[in-house]
Amino acid sequence: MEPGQAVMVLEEFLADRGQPLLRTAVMLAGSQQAGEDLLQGALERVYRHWRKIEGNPEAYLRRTLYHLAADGWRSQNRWRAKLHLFGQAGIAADATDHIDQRDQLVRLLRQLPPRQRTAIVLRYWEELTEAEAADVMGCSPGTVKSAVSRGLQRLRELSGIPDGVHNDTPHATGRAS
Amino acid sequence: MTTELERQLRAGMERVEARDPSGLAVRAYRRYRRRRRTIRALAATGTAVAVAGMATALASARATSSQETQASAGVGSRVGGALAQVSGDMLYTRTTYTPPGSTGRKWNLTIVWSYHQRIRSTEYSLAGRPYWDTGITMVAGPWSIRAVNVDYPARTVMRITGGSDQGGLTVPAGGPVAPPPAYCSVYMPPATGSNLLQGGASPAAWAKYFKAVLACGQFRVAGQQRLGGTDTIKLVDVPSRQRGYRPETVWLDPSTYLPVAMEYTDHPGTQTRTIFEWLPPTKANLAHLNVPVPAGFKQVKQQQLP
Repeated sequence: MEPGQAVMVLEEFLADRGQPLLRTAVMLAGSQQAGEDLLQGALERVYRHWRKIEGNPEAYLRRTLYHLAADGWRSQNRWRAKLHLFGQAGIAADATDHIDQRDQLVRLLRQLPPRQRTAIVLRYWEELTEAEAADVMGCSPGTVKSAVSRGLQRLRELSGIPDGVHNDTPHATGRAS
Repeated sequence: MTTELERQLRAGMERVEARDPSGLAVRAYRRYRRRRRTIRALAATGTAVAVAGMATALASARATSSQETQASAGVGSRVGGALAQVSGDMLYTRTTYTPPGSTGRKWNLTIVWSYHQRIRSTEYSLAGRPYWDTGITMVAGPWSIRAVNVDYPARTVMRITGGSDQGGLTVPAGGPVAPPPAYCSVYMPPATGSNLLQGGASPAAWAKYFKAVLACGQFRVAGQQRLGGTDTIKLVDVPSRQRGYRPETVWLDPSTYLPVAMEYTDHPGTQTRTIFEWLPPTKANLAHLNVPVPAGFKQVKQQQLP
């Protein structure tokens, strides 16, 4: 099937699975607009490699999404520029940014380096094991573990949330590796 | 066991919302096509020049059968000599896609004007309106390119400048890319044919192209055929497991041995057909190389190529 025909397949796929995928992209990228751009970038890669993709494109699309996010996506500089902007008063926020700013921690997530953020989203949102997250990020489970640990530590510092422990949420840390 | 931070993080993630992503696949496809088209057009200018230097790489070429070898060799040897008879070296081509709208294309007609280092390619929508209009000029001296692309549906215009000192699109500073080491081991037509088409290749480049593909057995002579009132020599692509195979047929003018028409099947059910005309570079014809930018179109930033 040619990439042109893939449009219909992917539109149908997005109608069914697009919302959760876009939510993931929004968390990975930091805002609604950036999330859409990220997902669009991943879709472009899917078109590029469409002939090699067999069956359901979701797995490939997700993997691409995570890769783009973990690689800092467009560039580290762009990311740093964003961080700078977030700290500036008077910057008119995109109305859609407001959606994911309702929660302080998700907002703070944007301040983590891309790999830490991706590792946290994979573990806490996608509920992947360390081994699964390592597989999609193309690194070792140890790297994922370390990225998650550092990311959580940084979030703790930024949010001021104490290091209290709950025993009543069995899936909150994701499945065991 | 989980910490308060992890619990809150997960709860916050549950509250993240996202807009309806419908239309995203279409937007991504448009951008994919735009990039691909830009890259191909830019690469083609290099390919067209590179092909001109390939003839010497064909010494070890093979042919499919002795009869075809002789026929193909006969055509190949006459191609070079026929160039002097060409009335003009400005190429006009008209490419149509059947059925219209197949493979998700929003256009079903491509008109290309090319002359020396300038080329203009215009796509027309199914309704017959301009869809894309791209002009590329290979700048003399440094190996660099200037391009302009008008996107009618988006009402935008993008200007691209590339060269070793521009920091934008870059083309090898040393000149055209080197020919592949094993010319016939890679899939060429219609990729090369269409690249030549897009790249504004001269009659000489076309001639060398056909010499090459005949010499290495990639095409074979399949007789003569009357096409549009003219007798033509018909060449067909030779299937090869190594190269892959997409059926391609080329009809050559027997007096000049330049292509009259080219047709290939992109994938089952979709045919691309190109009609060629070689024209003198009159003032009126040269004016077709200019890309007009309609008033009110927004200038967008140079596209970042992957």
